[in-house]
Amino acid sequence: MIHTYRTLREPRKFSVDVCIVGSGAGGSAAAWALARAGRKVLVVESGSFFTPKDFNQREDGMFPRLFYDSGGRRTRNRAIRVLHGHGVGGSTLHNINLCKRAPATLVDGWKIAGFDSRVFGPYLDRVEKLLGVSEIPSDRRNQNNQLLAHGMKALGYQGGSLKHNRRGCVGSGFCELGCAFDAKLNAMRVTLPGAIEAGAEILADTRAVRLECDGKRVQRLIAETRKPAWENGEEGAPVSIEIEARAFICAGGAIETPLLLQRSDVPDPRGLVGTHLHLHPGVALAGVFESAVNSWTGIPQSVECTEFLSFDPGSERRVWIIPGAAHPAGAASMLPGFGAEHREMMELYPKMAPLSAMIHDHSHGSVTGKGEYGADIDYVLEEGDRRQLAIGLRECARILFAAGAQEVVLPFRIPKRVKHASEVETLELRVDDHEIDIVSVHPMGSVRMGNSSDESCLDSTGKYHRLDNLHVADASVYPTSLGVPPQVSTYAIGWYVADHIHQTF
Amino acid sequence: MTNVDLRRRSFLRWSALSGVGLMLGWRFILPAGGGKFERLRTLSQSHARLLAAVYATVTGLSDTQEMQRAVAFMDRFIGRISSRDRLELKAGLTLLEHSPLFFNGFFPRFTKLDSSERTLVLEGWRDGANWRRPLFGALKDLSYLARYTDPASWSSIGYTGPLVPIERQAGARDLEYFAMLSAEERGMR
Repeated sequence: MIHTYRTLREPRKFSVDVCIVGSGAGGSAAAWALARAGRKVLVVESGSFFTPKDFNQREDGMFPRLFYDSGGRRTRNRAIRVLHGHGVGGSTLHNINLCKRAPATLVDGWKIAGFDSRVFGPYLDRVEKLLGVSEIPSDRRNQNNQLLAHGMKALGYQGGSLKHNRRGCVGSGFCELGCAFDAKLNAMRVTLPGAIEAGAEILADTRAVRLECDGKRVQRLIAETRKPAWENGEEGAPVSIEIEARAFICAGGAIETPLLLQRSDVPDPRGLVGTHLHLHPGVALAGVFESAVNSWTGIPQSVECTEFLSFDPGSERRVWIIPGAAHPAGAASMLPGFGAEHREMMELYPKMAPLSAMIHDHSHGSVTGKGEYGADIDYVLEEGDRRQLAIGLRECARILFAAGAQEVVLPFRIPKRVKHASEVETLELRVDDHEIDIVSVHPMGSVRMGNSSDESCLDSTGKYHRLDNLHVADASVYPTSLGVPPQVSTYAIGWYVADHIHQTF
Repeated sequence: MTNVDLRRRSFLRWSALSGVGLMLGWRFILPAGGGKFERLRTLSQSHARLLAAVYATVTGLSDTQEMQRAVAFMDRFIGRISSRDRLELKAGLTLLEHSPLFFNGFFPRFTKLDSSERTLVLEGWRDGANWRRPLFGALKDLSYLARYTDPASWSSIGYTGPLVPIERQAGARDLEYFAMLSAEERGMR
């Protein structure tokens, strides 16, 4: 059952088998697996409990509810916006339901003894079955996706339909703001109800403050419940919660998990916690077409271009192209300029087809605490990644012209408005900081798995090398960027880590 | 050089410095330009006027009622961000207000400039050194968030807005979610 700040008004102590911090893909899958195996499970979630009737499809209403820092979190140099969700269900509340498996060649390339595609593959299979993952039929493609498909076909580029975890989707186009139509087969719809049915409890509005360790084991989690700031502009006074457990799982995501571990002073002599952060960064641009595209309607992303994406070792094809998805405030923020020129571009919004290029990044950074609970994300793009983003922009522009665009707008600080396909070939494109909006929606890798405690934080089962009963089950475990959305893989990681914990009991 | 010359030079130097100091001090003491905003919870009147001036420049619009709505929105939104970010934003706003003197050679504060001068100032923040660009980006984002989450703006850009969920499968699924709450929680709702 779920408790919120409304009923957690007095200090409380809990004693359970497993305490899980975070209720997103990894945390909810772990809760589901362990509760169904008969373990007493408690999940602590800093965000609030929302149901579909709370999702009002308004950017101003939902960003403060569903995203850390109302969606305004940025890297230290402010060059990259990092969107990171919270709420009971985590990022699965606001993701666009894309289901891509961690590529087998990538997983095998990590060379982690005891963890490879043969071990991980079956978990991915089970997650896909549990979430009802299926290919999005071509007759459900909105106009924006059809244009991408058309452009790819004209150029002979590889790609095709994406897979998703939806059922009963009405094509509202508001996936990123929570589904008011309850069509996401996500943590709130599948794994958390299953966990609760098996006896798990969830404490919403409850932030994990620190883990108390004795050097070998975690003894307890100290947490605090507060009325959330989004309710009326002010956070409530904290109520102390103490949780003892036989095992602890951190599943707050690649930003929050390292912050919790750092606040807890877990043994980390090599200073690895919070390092090797990957962001899977992306840039976007838009084609302007003669007739309406209305890109905000329908399933936002149902087609992908994989022409420039390869996971073969050493490949420099690292660009994944999919349609962009932005409602008007988001679109306005990304379009360059301001004043009359910007207003003129916004009047073209219904005729705009946005595309996004995300890269399988080699750049890596770090995350450390800032203030009480803030995050200092230090991440600077390497030159090679900047080139990949530039390749992504150029290829998106080619695709849009091949699909019939009259104009392509590249939203650099000084905008580049390209009127002819031939101009794309000679465009000078350089993705420098603060010259174009760069966004990350998939932070990964900051508490990574590996073979040795000298180079990694976790062993091949997701257990923290230096503590007997601490585990991590979120996107921070990946030794590299996945190069694809981590949703399915992270549910699988949660299940995998849970199975190992259950075996140790 | 005689002692009289030195004393005169010193007097002139200090008079000039005092004059500049008085002008600058007066500049800081004077209130910001712009109207009055009601029922603010997070912003001071000066910051509200400054945000209104930024909003007008960024959107190119200056309707008074719309401005009031936009500032009210920004006041609520800023109230929900972290206190650290709020402090940084307010410091940035104060800097912006007085920046025209240092970066553009305009003596009046930002809120007292005309629209073409304000545009020049914001362009300077947009194109300036890397430490200046993020503030411009934040103010632009905030202005457009206020503008385009206002349903009154949607017809101007052909946006159809939320798909009203009248056909939701309410009832059974809502009850299932409700049942996930503890008994005490259910009793309170």
